[in-house]
Amino acid sequence: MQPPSARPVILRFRPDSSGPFGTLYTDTSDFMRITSGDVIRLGDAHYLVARDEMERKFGLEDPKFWVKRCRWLEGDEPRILKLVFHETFTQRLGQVEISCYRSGHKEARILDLVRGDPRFMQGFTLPDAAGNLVRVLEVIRGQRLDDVIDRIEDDHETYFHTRYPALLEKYLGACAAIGFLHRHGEKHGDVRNDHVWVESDTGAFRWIDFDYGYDHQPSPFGLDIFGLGNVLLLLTGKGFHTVQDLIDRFDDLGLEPADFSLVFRHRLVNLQRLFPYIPDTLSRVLLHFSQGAEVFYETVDELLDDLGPCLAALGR
Amino acid sequence: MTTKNAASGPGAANERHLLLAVDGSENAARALDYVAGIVAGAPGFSVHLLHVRTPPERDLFAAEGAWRTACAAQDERAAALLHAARERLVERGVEPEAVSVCDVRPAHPGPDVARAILEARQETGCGTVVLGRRGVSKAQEFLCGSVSGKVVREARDCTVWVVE
Repeated sequence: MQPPSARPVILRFRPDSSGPFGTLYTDTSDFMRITSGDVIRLGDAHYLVARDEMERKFGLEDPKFWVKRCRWLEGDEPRILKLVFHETFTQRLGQVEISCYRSGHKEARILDLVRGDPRFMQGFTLPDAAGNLVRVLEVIRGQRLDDVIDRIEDDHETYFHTRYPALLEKYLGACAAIGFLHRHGEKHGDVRNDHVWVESDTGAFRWIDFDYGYDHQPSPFGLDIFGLGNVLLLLTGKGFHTVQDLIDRFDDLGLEPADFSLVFRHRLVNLQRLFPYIPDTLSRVLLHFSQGAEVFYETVDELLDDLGPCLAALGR
Repeated sequence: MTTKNAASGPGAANERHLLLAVDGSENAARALDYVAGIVAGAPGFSVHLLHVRTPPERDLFAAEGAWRTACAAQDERAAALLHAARERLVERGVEPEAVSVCDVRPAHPGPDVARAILEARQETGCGTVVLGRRGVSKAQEFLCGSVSGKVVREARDCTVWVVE
């Protein structure tokens, strides 16, 4: 049977609307069909779809057809609806292959766990008519962390002595948030620089996107900790520094393989070679993520224990 | 924990009571053969075969039913691999009454297999833990961890044999 038109619903809330008037969906299984002008009804709430959300990678925008930017019509507020898209896939990190999955159940569980905790995106879950767990998310007003760092125009030394200490303090809070998940047996699953959002009015770091997971590993939280290392590297280096960028200075800087990332082997981890004013305490933490490392962090608490003195060394 | 033909129990750790962790892998098979070579015909030894069951992640499956089916299949595999491991030891000359088997589900998030092995060691009173090693790369150990590495690091009051 053809689903009904969304026109009466849209005109009920927006009598002056000139459309587009799409379809009223109560079953979101076929999320590829749901587009701008459609309305998704979940229980008593109606969400007018504006567009698919986009993910930016390598300067290209990739549509996420299962994530809809919407207007919650009853409340006249923006919302993001994540529809159920269950997939399993193999992710390659350097030479290592990991079995990963995307799960609405996992994200729904974590949204319940972190309700009211400002270190995380907020939302709740509603089942659609077919039983799909739709996650209804509040929109964070802010920017991705990597964009924030990218837009800072200071040279590195100025940045490091002025802005970095406060950013590091916030980073420690973000690490503690991931530690909170781990203590409750949950992984974030996709700890990346663009999954930390910096809120515009408070500057707070907030984690988004909890639907990724990976299969059991002997070190259950290793991938999250690896991700935290990457975020620390971006913050400390004010961006990443690669073999390609440094090729002409390799010998002058005394660089060797042990200075580079254990996983992304072209990425410089021993930033002290480049920026000698980085304190030893901080440099030692970074080197845990290098090819030269013999001991790895297994818990967030271990990482935080080592980072605490770094803040003191930076005068915080 | 379910235990069959228990030859050892809680009490003082005895280095001749071996806890041998098996998972059906080639590494575990090497550890089995190594243990058989030492224990067969030697008096006073017992081997406690342990398998730590790690149920598939619930989140990996869209539907509850599919997950339960996968769990049931894994339970069957666990029973079969413990049986095969016991047979392998006996075929290589270990006295049947010297071999006991058990399988556990880890109680800690992750799930933490290494911790489950060490807890089983404590519970059985075995003085020696034996396990095979996958031989993972450094990057893999960093990202995914290593059961044998963690057992070696965290073991107390016992001996650990890691079989290459």
